Amino acid sequence: MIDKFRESFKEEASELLAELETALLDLEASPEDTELIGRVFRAMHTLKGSGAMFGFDDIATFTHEVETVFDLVRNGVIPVSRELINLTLAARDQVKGMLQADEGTGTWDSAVTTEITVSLKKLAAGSIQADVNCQTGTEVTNSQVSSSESTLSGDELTTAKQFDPSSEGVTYRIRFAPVENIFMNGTNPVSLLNELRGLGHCCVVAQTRNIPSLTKINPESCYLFWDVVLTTTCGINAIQDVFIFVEDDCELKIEQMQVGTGDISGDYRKLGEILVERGDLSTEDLGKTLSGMKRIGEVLVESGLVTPDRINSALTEQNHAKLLIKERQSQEVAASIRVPAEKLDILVNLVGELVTVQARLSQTAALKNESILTSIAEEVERLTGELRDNALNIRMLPIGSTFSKFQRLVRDLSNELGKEVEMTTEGAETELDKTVIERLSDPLVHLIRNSIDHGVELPEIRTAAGKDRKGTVHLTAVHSGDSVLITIKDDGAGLDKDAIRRKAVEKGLIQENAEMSEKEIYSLIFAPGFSTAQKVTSVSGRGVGMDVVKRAIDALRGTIELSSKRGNGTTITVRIPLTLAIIESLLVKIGDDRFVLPLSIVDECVELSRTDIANAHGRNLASVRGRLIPYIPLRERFRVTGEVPDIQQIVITRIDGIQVGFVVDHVIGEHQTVIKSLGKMYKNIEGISGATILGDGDVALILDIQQLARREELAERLAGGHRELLAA
Amino acid sequence: MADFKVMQANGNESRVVTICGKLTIPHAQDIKVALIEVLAMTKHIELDLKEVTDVDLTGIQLLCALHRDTVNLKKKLSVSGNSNELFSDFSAASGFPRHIGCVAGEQCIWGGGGN
Amino acid sequence: MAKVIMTADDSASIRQMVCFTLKESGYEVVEAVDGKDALQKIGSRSVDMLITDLNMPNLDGLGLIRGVRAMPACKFIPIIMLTTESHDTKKQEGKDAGATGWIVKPFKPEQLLAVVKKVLG
Repeated sequence: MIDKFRESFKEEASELLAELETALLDLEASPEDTELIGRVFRAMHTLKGSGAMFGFDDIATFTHEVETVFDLVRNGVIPVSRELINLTLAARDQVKGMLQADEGTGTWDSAVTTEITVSLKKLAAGSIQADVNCQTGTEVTNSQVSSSESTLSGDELTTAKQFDPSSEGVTYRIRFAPVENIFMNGTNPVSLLNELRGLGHCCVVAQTRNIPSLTKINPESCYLFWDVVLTTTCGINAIQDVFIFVEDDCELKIEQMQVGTGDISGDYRKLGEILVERGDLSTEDLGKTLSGMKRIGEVLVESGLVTPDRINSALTEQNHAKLLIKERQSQEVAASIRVPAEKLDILVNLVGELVTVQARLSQTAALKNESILTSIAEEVERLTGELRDNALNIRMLPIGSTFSKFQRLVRDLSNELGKEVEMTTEGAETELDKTVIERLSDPLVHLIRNSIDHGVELPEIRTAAGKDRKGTVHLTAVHSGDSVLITIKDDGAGLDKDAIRRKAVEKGLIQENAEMSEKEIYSLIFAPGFSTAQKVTSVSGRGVGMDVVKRAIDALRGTIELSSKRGNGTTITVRIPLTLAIIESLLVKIGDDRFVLPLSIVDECVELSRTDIANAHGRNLASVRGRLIPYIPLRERFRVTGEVPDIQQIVITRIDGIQVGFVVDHVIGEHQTVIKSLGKMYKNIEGISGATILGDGDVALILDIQQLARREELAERLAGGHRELLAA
Repeated sequence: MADFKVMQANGNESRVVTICGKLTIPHAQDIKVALIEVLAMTKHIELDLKEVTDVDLTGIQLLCALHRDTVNLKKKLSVSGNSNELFSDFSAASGFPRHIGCVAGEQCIWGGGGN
Repeated sequence: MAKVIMTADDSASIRQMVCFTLKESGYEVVEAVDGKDALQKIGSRSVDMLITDLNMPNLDGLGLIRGVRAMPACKFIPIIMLTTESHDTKKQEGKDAGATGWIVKPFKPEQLLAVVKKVLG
């Protein structure tokens, strides 16, 4: 929006510069013409004021100098001279240059600006020395055009308005007594009271005791004054700012007061105390009155010690305190507490340790086979489970916050690309581990960018294809078991299978005659260095991106799948485990070593006998219910020595929609895995993503299934071998 | 200006005074004159405010002054039509609802502040 | 009914910005290009508030404020002046002429709205 104003400022400035030029030339002809001097001054003044408004600070600062000099000319301190006209014309050209530089059609030299400024100042100084009496000159020269100068800075105003009811704040007693003729300059005290209410919890009492009788009243005068009790977090400056326009037209008293802050067991103060503190009543009088046991307010009024007005005001203050204390108490009950994230991390780590110890306990109990120990172990197991779920749950946040960030992204991006895209979201309340959400944000941004850049077509193309001008990107998040499914669905052009294939061949990613399923072709776009964009845009198409997304999702132990229909759009599904700290996994054994695989990606386990292997004629393929599934013999991969059992097990996993088997000696069973990182030294070991401690204290390595499969695939491709390997 | 008008009519033992339109500062002089007139005329004023479309601090001040004068002169003032949104909003905004009337022993015409 | 605010400024871009900001917030806006224009327009229709620049041709801001205050219909309306100097002398001159408050240029739309709210309620 500000750009629009900048444009109209530039237009206006050109007009002003033209006007300035004419005025200066006329002025040269008739240097005594005050009307002309006024015109020059006003042109400079407007350039300065409006320039500063719309961000042309260099113009504002510069014209300020010229304006200063012309103020002196206007006041007759400096005469109009040829030199002055020359300098001002040069200044005018300089401003024009500054404007053109902003358009990108010219440049300006800051040295010239300085030169003109210095010469002008010299000119002014010369005259000022001649006229020592002139003070305005120096005063104005010292002033600077800067926003810090303004009394009402925007930041102050907006932050001052932000009242946070959850924090306690400070309570102030404010007496606002405007002068009688306050209405005469258009001030409405009620607006000011309303503004005070915006600062916090506020009680207002109008004091009427100065209202005279009808015959004496001047109906256009203000006889009222106000006592206000305000609890605010905004500080005393914010309160003073409310009265900034009337500070000379009112009696304003702002005092901080003590509300029962808990030291007197949260009690509010007695009416008498308030009156005494305000100086409306003396302690002795209070003492005397208290001996009679009527309600103190009535008694005081009856005895004429305090006027009803003052009692009212004090009562309001008391009520304010009552309400405040009540509010705080109810807040305490309903409150949520903020905890630093590190504390939660520590808690989750401790729970992890506990789960490990509990596993050991359960194992020991099972070995000893003592009923008492077993029942304790079971109890501990149950409690640990609950504790684990609760601890992990604390770290869960709704994914919605990231969604709203995407709305902005979609808006900016579609503008930039000249497309019309609307984003709809669903499941913003779906909860995910805090760290996961943080690490998920970038890949999702990339995917959405991609959908808009490559997927959704330009409005004309869409209309031609009989679609709505406006494309949609639908973002959903939904729970599915121990993971969250995030889908990004666009109704764009869909993926071009042939283009992807051509590109992949071109890039040497696949053989020209390779036989591939649709899914496999789609998954090629996740390969490093792949990009089908016709031209490189600022948004995507630099050839990095999808492979980075894939890696990021892998790092979260997630999977990514893609389906697409030419002309109808693309759906990308990302599956992310709920948490990174503790996972359900499958414990397997190869030789004497144990490994774990994330259970979420395991489809089934089948047996692999020696005859099966023999039947496959040396190819790593198993026939499962009539389908051929490629497998990776982990024993070979990890070079585990020793006797191969007669019957091995294939753990069939589903990675990005493609089934791959992993051959192990035995499948031990499900396991609660507390993930431990391998430390710096072993961070980059391929095929292993971490480790965990088993119930007996042994360490099991966590298999990085995705990486293993990818590596295998790569080896196959390099060998130019059979593409059947990954045929699903 | 047609923005403001005071109408009077005879009630049983009172004078019914209806204020219509804007009870605001541009009319404050006129309101004052009208109220002084009414005060001199009768012992019991029945003030009807339901036709009032706008009110500001000067209007409230004048009504307070009238109320006090009636109390001081031992006359009676009853006010109706002041419990609508216009008056309750304005009196709340300007801090008028109070616990005890400003004139000893009298109920405030702007209503008690409660509890 | 939307409140009517008049903006008097010889700078078209400032008028545009003030006008846009206020209309966005639901006010009705009347524009005037200088003091004389403003005084004429304000005489012919009712205005709830005036925002005026101080430096204007034909009739300057102070003259406009005095003129407006002399009109019975505008005796009590809020008047805000726009000034480039935060010097107290200018503010005082303005207040003496009958201005309710001031805004120091440059200002942001939020500041303008905050001040309008402060004086118009």
